[in-house]
Amino acid sequence: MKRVLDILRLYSTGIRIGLAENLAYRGNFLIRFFVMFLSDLLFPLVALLVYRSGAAFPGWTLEEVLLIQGIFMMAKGFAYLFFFGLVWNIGEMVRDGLFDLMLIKPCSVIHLAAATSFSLENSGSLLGGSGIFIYAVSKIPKPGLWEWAAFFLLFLLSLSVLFSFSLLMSGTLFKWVGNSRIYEIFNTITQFGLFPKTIYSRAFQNILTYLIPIAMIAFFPAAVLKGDKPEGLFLSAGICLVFLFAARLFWHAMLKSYSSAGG
Amino acid sequence: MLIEVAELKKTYIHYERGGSFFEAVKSIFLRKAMPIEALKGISFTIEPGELVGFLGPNGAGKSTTIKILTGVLYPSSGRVKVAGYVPWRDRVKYVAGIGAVFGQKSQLIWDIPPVDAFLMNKAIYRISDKEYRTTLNMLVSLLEVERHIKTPTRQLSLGERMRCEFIMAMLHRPQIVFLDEPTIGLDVVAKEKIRSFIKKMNEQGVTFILTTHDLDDVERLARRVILINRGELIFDDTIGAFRGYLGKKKFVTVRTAKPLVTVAFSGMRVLNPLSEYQMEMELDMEAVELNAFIRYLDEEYGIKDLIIEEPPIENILKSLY
Repeated sequence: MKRVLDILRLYSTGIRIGLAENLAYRGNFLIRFFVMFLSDLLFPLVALLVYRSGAAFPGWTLEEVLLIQGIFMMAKGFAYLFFFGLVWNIGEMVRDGLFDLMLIKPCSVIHLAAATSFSLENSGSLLGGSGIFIYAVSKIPKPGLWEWAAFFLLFLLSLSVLFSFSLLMSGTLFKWVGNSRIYEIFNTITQFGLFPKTIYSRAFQNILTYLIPIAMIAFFPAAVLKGDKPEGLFLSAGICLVFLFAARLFWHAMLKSYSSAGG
Repeated sequence: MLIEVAELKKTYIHYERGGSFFEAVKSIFLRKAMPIEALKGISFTIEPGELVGFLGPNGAGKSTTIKILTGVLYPSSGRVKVAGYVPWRDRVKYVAGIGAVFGQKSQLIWDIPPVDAFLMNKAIYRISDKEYRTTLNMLVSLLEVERHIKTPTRQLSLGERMRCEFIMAMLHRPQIVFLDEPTIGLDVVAKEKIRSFIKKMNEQGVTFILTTHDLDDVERLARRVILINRGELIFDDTIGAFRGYLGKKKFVTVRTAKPLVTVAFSGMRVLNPLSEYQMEMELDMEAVELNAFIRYLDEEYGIKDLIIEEPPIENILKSLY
């Protein structure tokens, strides 16, 4: 319990300092906020164009696809806001030799790197995603209490998948210093989670469900919210936990290869 | 014993790569690994309350040693115990009791005032409100930064920033503090303030390990000097013994009425003829009688000005490197 309180104190201080930093440059803050907000609306617009042209994702209405995309944006928005910054935080610090300063603090380096990377500019994705999510939920049959409970549980697993990705990405930066393309690789891989997994081939669905659980980012939470019982849900939930455990092991193993910068 | 280092070794693997386009393409597929021995088995101990100058030329292994002692790097082999902890193994518990100031790596946050950045350390070190206020007031008053801690860091001078770095590093009242070039780039006044602060904290029992190229820092602060070069420990003794390393030598600067062209005296070596009438010399005190030498200079050339000093510390270092 004390450990949890310490972590919460770390995050609340990180958020306060992050806010103070953001507000030091208000113009930059507002521009980045709107860029994040607008750039994330691209995929819902693509879905809208697909359905307006008469085509469709088999078995999914436009609102249900928007539900997946809203959840995807909310999960990514939450991750960007609260912990994903640890990837570029660690990347920059390792390259500049400042990561040493993290290692001389008596707390979890992962939490410290995440807490000190809080940036309100990234709330654009979370707000945009929440808007689409609320719209989509209002257009599908009203979910019951059980559906909502299952959704929240799966949304936590969705965040755990993104957290695992942030550990895998930041872990590689200890060895491959200055790898600026790592974010694009992540973006490309996770974009498969923006659409119903049922549109992909069987083999690819298995990869997204049981190997790299991208389907958990949005597809599974959306499916249970609309009352489905998607195939492979429980196994995929277990895989998410294994994925998180493996990502943590990988991160700590890579940390051992950290060699600091000269001088 | 507070710090115990035995047979400490660290080998880095660097990858060789040529500068040509062909070499760059080749390095994508094939890289030649080059082991670099940064530390070749150094051993030393440090007692509580010491203030040790840790010296060496660039690339000697100073920073690697400090990084291992602070738990930042894993050694390749050897034993290290600091305050009962193995730094890299017990990192979280161990670093709660140490502080560090890196002259070229800031812990402050560029866009916000230092007093806001201090809050991060308050949270990290779980400092109570009361203890935080007491320590902050004490440090602010000692370092004379009452006005500066509320100014955004980017608007502070280097000296003001450096003093705030010390507050950041000492808010949790560490018993061991590692200083890496703490006075780099500072003016004389700022340096003096930092040195006086280090002295005061050391008098209160804080152990300091000072890595620096500024020999004034060493002369004014350190009571003991550890010198490493090419990964090996080449000197570990008091500052007095360090000064006596070259034997009993004196450094003389003399200005005379007559030209010093023919000056010669057994046990005297000309170091630097500054002009026809002014010269820097080194005297071997085991071979020269000082009175006789001064009489010789005065009778032969007419002394107008004479300064006799201990040999500069740079000379000792040059001879050791």
